[in-house]
Amino acid sequence: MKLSGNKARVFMTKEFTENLRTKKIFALVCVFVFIALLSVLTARFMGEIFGAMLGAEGTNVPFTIIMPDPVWTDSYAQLYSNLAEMGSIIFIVLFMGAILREKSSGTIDLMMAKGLSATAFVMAKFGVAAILTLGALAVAVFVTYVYTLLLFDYGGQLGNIVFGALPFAVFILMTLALTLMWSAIAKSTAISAVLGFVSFTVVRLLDLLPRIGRFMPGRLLAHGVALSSGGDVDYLPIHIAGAVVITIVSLWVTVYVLRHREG
Amino acid sequence: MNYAVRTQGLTKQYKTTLAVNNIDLAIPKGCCCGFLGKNGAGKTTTLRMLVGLKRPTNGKISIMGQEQVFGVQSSLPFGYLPDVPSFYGYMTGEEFLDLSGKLCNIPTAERKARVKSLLKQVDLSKTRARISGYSRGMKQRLGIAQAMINNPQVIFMDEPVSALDPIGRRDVVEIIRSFSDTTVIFSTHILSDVEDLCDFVLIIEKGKIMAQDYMANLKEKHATGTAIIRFLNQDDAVAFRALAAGGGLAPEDRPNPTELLLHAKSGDVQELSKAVTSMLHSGGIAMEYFGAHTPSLEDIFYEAIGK
Repeated sequence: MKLSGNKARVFMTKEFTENLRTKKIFALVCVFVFIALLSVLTARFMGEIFGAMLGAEGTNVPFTIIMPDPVWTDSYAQLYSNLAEMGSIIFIVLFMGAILREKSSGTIDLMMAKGLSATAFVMAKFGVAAILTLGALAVAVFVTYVYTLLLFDYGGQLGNIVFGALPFAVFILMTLALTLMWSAIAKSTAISAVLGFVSFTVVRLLDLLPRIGRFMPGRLLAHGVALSSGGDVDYLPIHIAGAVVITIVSLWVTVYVLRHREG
Repeated sequence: MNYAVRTQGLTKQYKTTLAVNNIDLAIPKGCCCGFLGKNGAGKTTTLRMLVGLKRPTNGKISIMGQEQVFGVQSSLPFGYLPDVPSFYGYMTGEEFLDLSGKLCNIPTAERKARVKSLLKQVDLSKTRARISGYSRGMKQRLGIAQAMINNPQVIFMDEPVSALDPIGRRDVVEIIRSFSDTTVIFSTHILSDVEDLCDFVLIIEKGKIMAQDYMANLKEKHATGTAIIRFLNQDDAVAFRALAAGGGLAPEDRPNPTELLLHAKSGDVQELSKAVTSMLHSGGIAMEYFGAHTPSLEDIFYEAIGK
């Protein structure tokens, strides 16, 4: 067991090096920071942006749009909305080939012939992808906090802001586990990408189901604003538990697939 | 007898294909074993089961006396080179060997020394380029080095020279030749490489082992009771041919017109030798060479697979 843990650590170091040298870390952090800056700007100047668009020369709008005054929580609403859309696409794209590439190139064979177990392989892949993505999320939330403080003169209570990021972090871990699972199952990057996006969409659509939708883990994406402003949300433990179950099952399936592959 | 590799009833069944059919291997320690077979005969499947990359449908595997159970990683007494080794292109050869050494739990000081020595052995010590810039031959040499990182007692190589150009092939053959005290098992369909390097031969056909023995024993078993006689000139060969035909020997022509192939009626080359001596004496013909015809590995291979 000790040896297996050591091999997992060695492989995690390799994964960090790979993500560093292939610039994935920079791509992820840059995109998340860009989303953070864009979210605060959009929240602060949404009224002006709409006003400029509607008042532009040649437009003749026969109605009036009344925009509420922007408030600091709008920054976090924009952040989590944008991260759910753009951010998720980016990290699915970055990690959809994580296992597939090793399978198709055969590098996984050399690693496993050195005694690296399927469990250690998957946990190292998942662990590093999780650390990088959660790190990028932490940077994005911090940038949002600072920029909101600058533009709104108040960025919220730091403790609440951190707690507000928790549901999204859990959602990211679940999506990463699903992405890795498809990467292990799929025979091509295109199929892995399609399956990744389909499962991501299905998870999000499940919370629209009548009666049971409110218990689905897709609701995690909606909790950021309420928790960031110190409010309460319904069924949070159930949503987290659902996401954790999907994460564990996805990782188990990934390990199973690698153990039983006939490469 | 001590064996490096033993299997009992090793079998691999796919949905509709029996890729490896109940094979019992017994490969002695310290030999260089050529694993011969046509494409699709089951060589790669067998090797992948031996190194734990493919789950056997049935059977037992023992390497250096240590039973190998699929999915259970123990201290591995072997190294493995796949047919087309792939590496992390962003690493240097030294970094990849270091990673391999870490996975084998080799202590730091020993690992660094081993990496340095292996890079020198495979002639990559002066290369600082990343692996993505390596040629096919360089990758193959790095593949051999990574297979040797844990100083294994057995090394499995899947078609180590098949895809290389003549220079790359020569380099790899020389590296294999340099191994001492290591049991080398390599699959190939190039008979000359086995004849050149190996002292033990396995022949597989349609998932079944058709021959398994030391090369010398196989040659003795497959000796056909034939001999080659060579004359000083073609006229002597023609004269002897007539004599031999009269004596019931039915000589066959060889590509060299001064040579003839003779078959012993009883299969005993010594009897044949006596008959030939008598004919040469009676015909007053001089010869240059007479010797039992040893079957080549090619002869053995074709006979073993029934072609």
